Amino acid sequence: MSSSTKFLTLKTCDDKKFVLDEAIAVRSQTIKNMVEDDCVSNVIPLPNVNSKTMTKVIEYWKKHSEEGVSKDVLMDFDKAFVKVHHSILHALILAANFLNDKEILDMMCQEVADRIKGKTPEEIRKEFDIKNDFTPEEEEEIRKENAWAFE
Amino acid sequence: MAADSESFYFPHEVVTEILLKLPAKSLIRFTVVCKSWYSLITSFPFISAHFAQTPQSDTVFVRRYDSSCNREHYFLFEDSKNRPFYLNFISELHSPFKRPLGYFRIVGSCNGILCLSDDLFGELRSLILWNPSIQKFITLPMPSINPQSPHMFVFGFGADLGESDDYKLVRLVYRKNDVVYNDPPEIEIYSINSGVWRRVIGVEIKHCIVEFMWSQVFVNGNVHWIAYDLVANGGDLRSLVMTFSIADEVFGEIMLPDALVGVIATNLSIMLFEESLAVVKYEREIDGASCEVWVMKQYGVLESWNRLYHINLVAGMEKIVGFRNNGEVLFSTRNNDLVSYDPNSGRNRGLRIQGSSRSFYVQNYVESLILLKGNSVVSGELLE
Repeated sequence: MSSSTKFLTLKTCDDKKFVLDEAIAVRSQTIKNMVEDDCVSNVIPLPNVNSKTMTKVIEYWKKHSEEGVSKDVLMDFDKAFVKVHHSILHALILAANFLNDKEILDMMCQEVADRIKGKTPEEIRKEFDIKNDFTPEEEEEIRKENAWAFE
Repeated sequence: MAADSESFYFPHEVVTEILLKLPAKSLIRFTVVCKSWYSLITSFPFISAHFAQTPQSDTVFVRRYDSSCNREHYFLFEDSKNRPFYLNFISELHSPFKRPLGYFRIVGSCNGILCLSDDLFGELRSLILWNPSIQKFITLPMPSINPQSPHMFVFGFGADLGESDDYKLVRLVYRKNDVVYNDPPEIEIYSINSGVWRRVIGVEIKHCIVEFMWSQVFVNGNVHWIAYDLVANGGDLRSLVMTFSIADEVFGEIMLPDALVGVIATNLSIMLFEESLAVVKYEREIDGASCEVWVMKQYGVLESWNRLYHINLVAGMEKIVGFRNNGEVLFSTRNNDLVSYDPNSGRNRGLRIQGSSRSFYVQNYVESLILLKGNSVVSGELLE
């Protein structure tokens, strides 16, 4: 069936081009919709994704599209895949969200959850750049109410 | 905006995705992060979605009552498939409530909520819904049907996870005529959302449930009790499973297999086996006691009733209190401890968990945020 293999060209925000088997690229629901709606001309622009991140995404897509890969191999691959620096994790989640790839998004969100689950509210505010809009009294009340969770 | 390399800037829906993957304890701690996180985490849709995607754990909840110091204890154990005849101790939970007379009847559990009723001696003294995973509870108002004449009551507890997302208790009150219960019960229903007991009029139930010994199981949206016909049909008392649909509030029945229909209801007990309805039949003969475990493999399909085990009750084994992940069966014993029995090899071993025989309760432990806005359990303090 190789004669019917179609290729798509993806262009990231830093103008790098990636040529990819359509069957693999449609792991992205966003790209799939574009293909199905026939609004793919030559190049699919990905204005929200840079080439470094896209390289990682494609690495994941290719591994998970390989034939005859055992579950154990994939699990090891995934385990290593999520062990990335904070900034890459961040970029991968935004990319997976834009590309609408539930599999990668789920996996990366789980990784963030695992990294933050033991943190204090103060650390979380810093991590997510959130302003505390509770008054000290309000905050104290909620903390007292659930003291065991702050131990 | 150049993202600070140490900070996350995510769209709202991504933040929700991440929070949904956190354990309950972290989420409760993170309610103080900011007001929008507080509203999100405590909202019904979030709590439901969080519960729906919480992975099954191999933790079990165990209750035992120590009669020597008149105290009940609640524990968590790890029920590992690879550890025959062994439950690995995790922690003891604060038992937060005013001491019952004896110990609480655990009516049932559903989505991480336990329903406790202090009625061991017939009179209802308190009724509590407790979520031990987040240390929250609510005390329910006393029911409204309280005849002065001799009577008995049974409860059913379950969830309505349709649009209303509610938890309900149904209570059946049977009045005694001379020495027997042969009148249809009065019925009332409590729902968390409404906060009140409401009487049900115009429903005539033709079955009775065994006094005091009753138990119930909630599965497939229905509460199930072992029951028998109020009026014997041609002299034979027929046993059956009575059902109550929590969402529709409709009673029904499920026939027992032929081998159990004629068994007196006091010798039958209803349980959950994995996710299936199970009925245990106890038998005492001159040469020893035994029990049979029957499982309805496909819910509601009578042909799927199947006798899974026949077990001779040895080593003081008395009643089945639960089924382990590895297939072993947990028995309470006459010697007041918990024994694990392997139906394949026929071997058994004590688990070194002591307690009054009837007080044992074993249930899969589920973490959930349900009742998050309930009262907090204050550790080390018994509430009056």
